[in-house]
Amino acid sequence: MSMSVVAPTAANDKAPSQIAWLARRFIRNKAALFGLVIVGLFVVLAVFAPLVAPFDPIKTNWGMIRKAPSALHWFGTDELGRDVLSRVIYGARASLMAGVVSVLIAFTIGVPIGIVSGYVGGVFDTVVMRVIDAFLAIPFLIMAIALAAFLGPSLTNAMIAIGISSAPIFARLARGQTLVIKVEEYIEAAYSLGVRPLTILTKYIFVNAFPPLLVQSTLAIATAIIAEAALAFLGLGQQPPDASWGSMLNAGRSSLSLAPWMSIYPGIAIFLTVLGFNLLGDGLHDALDPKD
Amino acid sequence: MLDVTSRKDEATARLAPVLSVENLTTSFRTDGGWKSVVRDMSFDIAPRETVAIVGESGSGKSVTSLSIMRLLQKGASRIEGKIRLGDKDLLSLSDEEMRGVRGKDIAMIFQEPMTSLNPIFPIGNQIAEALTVHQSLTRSQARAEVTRLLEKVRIPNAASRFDEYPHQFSGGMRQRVMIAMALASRPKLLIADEPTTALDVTIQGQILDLIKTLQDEEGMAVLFITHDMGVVAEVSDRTLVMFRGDTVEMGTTDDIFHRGKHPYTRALLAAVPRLGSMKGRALPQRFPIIDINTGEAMPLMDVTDTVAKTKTPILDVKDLTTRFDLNAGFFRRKTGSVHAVEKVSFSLFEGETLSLVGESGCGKSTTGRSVTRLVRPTSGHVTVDGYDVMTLDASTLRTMRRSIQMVFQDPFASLNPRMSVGSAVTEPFIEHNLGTRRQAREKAADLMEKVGLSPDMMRRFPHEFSGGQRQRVAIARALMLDPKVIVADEAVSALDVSIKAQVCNLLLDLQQNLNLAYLFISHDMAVVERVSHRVAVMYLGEIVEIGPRAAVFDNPQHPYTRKLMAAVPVPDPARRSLKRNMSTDEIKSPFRPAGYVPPLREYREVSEGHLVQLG
Amino acid sequence: MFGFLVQRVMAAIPTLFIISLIVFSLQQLLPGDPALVIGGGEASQEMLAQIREQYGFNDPFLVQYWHWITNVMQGDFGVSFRTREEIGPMLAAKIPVTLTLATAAMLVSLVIGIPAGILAAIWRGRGWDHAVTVAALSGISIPNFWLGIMMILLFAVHLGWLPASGYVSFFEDPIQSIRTLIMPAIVLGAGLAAAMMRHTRSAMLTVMRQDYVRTARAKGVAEKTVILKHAFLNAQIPIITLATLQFGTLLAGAVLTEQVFSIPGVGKMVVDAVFNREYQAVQAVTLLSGAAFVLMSLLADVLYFVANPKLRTKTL
Repeated sequence: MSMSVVAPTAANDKAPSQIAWLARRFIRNKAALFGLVIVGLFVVLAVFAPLVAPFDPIKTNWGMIRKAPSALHWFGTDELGRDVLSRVIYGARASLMAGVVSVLIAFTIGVPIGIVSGYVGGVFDTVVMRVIDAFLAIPFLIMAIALAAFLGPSLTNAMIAIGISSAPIFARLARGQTLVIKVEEYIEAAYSLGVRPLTILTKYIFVNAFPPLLVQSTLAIATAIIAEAALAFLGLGQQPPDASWGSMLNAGRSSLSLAPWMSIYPGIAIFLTVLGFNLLGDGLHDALDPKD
Repeated sequence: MLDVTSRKDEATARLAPVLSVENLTTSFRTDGGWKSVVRDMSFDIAPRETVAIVGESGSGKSVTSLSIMRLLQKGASRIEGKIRLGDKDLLSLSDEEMRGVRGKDIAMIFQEPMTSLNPIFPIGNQIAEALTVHQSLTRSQARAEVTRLLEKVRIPNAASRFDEYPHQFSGGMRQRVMIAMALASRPKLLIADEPTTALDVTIQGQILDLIKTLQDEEGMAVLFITHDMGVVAEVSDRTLVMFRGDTVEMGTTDDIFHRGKHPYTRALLAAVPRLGSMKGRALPQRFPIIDINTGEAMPLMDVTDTVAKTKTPILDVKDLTTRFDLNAGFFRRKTGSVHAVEKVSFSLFEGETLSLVGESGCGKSTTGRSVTRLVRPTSGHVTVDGYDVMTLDASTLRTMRRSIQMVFQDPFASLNPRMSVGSAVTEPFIEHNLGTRRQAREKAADLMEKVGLSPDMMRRFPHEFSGGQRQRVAIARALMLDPKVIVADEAVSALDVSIKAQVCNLLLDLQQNLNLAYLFISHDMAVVERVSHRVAVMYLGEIVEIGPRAAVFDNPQHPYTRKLMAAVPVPDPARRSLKRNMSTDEIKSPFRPAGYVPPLREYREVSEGHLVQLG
Repeated sequence: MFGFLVQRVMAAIPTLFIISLIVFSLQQLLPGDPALVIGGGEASQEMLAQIREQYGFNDPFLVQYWHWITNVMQGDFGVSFRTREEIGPMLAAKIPVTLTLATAAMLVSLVIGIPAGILAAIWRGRGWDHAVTVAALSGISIPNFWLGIMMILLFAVHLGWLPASGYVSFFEDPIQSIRTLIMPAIVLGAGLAAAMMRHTRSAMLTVMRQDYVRTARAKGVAEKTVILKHAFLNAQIPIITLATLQFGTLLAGAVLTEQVFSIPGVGKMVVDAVFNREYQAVQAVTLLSGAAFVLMSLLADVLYFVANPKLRTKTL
């Protein structure tokens, strides 16, 4: 045996792939796993709503107005005699879709702007960042309300409004990551090897900026779900008779003392879904960022 | 592992030890239970004695010092054995009692002077705190005492610097502040954990001197943790060698260096370059490699002369100047510039190694980045393999990169963490459209073998490799384009000493086989002496002396070259009592105000090719 | 300090300019004819033409912007289409209401968030840390308007301890004012407190890992001093910054809180404006909230400057 054994030999063990290693770190985190279960549950509910829901969510029943929870209607009925449980199940569709679609919009707009701005630097970056700062200065929800107000109330417009309002956050994060990665030695090494700028942008910068962006996306879905519920609560989201958790809360307000179940269950659904995404995001963060 | 008590120095054996460590085992909590990082360690330190613990990274030497101080995170660590300070057993003290020991009986200084001071408090207050936590003093008494301490550690204008913040001090000065803080309560024992590792060599010399002087004045014992055999030889009476948590050997420093019993000790010492050991040799020389199990030396092959002086130089640099403008104030006006590289000229021939050597801020790295156009030079002429580097457009620049490649300092940072080693090595070949993916893989596999790695490792990711292995990967990657010149920017500086020797040998082998030219950038005089054909010494952006390696090292002319060489610790225990009596000057900054005109420099030829700048 | 302040104020001006451009551009999103929105569905062609002329809808975009911004700078945000009331004074009357609510909520979040976060960092991995982590995660996951509804249900409808809605000025009836403010302040402050807890915890954990904290311990400094002096005084910089920058979130949250508790503040006004299609009022509130945020970041810069000796000792 020669001196080379002085080097740590850890690398000689059969090495698992990076993804398997991350998955193990993630699964060991019980909270994150719990988040994944909650999110998975709601996704299943949303996808199989017609199979799972006991009643038609928009069919009114004048004989069953504001009935308290019972064996037949587990979560009670609303002011039009509709089954609250079924509406909560169908409402998952609006909430999850709003969360995912608006984050996709935000990601698609924000990330390229942020990466290019950070990569190019100079005056271009200064100007872009000023605009981003201005967008960020307007509080997220107020921006979303204003946009939804001008675009007109509908679920689609709410998603666009939330997506546009959260794009600056992604741009800022992507730019920050790019600035950090840009000065890494492996980027300089890539330049000195004559690697093309487009390859550096994609295989070096985007790939390394992706983990924090993924974490941000997960947390942004949580924020977007709350925002959609808020817009719907204000009457700027999903329009009647289609169910969404926010609009159900809006409808429940006027009969809060008469039929509290109309307000309780949709709220719990929002809380659980958002909690699920937040747990998932935190878990991903811990798995991807092995600082501690 | 060995009987420590029988090896004790005669003189110190009669005195009761200041600190006595018996069967110390420190473990950390991991997923699968407890993992020991220091095992069954025993040693004593007598009053006024200096004991060095030496080892490579991962040997557990720093954990030992933190265990003695009980500064490891509770719950995540477990310390077993006995640590006795006089008649106190440190491991059985309550937290509150231990707090009374820290800073009072045992003080500690750390490796990173830049981060070890609290950024939001003036340094005077931080030193005063070390006094006031252990005794009651009035404000003015504390202030007077702090001033005395600052003077003691030779900080110029001590009184006026009391209210300054850490960021207003240089690294060397911060380490002096840390020492002042450690001395505040006149400790019986000072633990110095790699106190000079982050410092430049001339500053290191000053700090080592200071610690020795203060030890004499204060009569304290010192436990010195280091990876540097040269430092060990200069400071310690007795030395303990650690290897992966175990005590390999302990004895007087002289015994360890000259009569080391354990093969690891001998292997470690063989790998340490010794400044001045190349006297009378013209060519570079491989490092001797000793088997750590048998302790036997492997045959050392001589290198042949690869330098092609007759051809035109492969890299030719004339009056290269690179400056970075600094702007400040409201309108971002140019207030001056950092003259990183100033009128530097040299040439490099095929098969030759030219080393650029100097301390931080001397411009050696910027020179390397300028000739590869990673930074844009301000003026001058650079020719690489026929390309005029100064005027290349973007696409020709990429083609030029096939001729000149870089290997960087930090093997952990210079590989994309999310790209497999195979992709990393093949990428340049593919990006330059030099052939098919299949050809790229074949060539990469061949190079992996050439640099001493198995082609099977190509599927793995960088984090699965050790530092030395990664540096080999980086070298293989640089070779994919068949370059003629490699700029090695501190390429072996971050590596452990034994790995450093191996990578240096690899570089020499590659030069023998591929006729590569190296621009070898390093702060390490001893390594430079070993691997270079020619040497250029840089100071404040300029070359102050350049010439054949033997000429520069045997007959240094410029005062800065001499100062640099005098400061290098040499692994020879005969130098234990050496003091350099260096003044407490700091490394100067190459920042110049706007409108500064650099003076014209002239050079004197000492002997053939040996030029020295005239002051 | 003065130079620094001037520099920051100057830097804020282009941001404010871009905010105003964004806010004004919003009305370009209106589907169809804005005159139709003002005149209503039954308006005649002449009426619409007159409206277009009166509001300058025929002018180029930049001319319209110029009219709008010069008016805004003189405090003229336009006139309500419906009530013919001026928007400026209307806003001025509602700002103190929202500010009172926001300040109370900020107090709630600081008083709960910072100590809880510090303790969680110190007792990392133990019971309290887990409790705080769970509470904080729940806090950021609860939609505040639903929390408001649930609190009304419990404390107003069932227990009858607190009024369900309304707003009383502190100067008219301090006790009633506080009673009406308790629930909205908690509802609005809860999410922020959760964010503060998480942020304080992570800032403290980062600082506690620093070398200078180890130095302090090596000196023999008592653990309490290590935490409160060496660690917290360093961690406070990111904490303060977050607190000021959360002000925007607070304003947005106020929209919903005011809606739930029927508080006549700026938030209630903007929602009413949306439904009454009072676009100028929506623009006014959006612009003001953006400007308020810029002001708060300026404050954050100043606090940062004061807390950071590196900036303070640099002569500008």
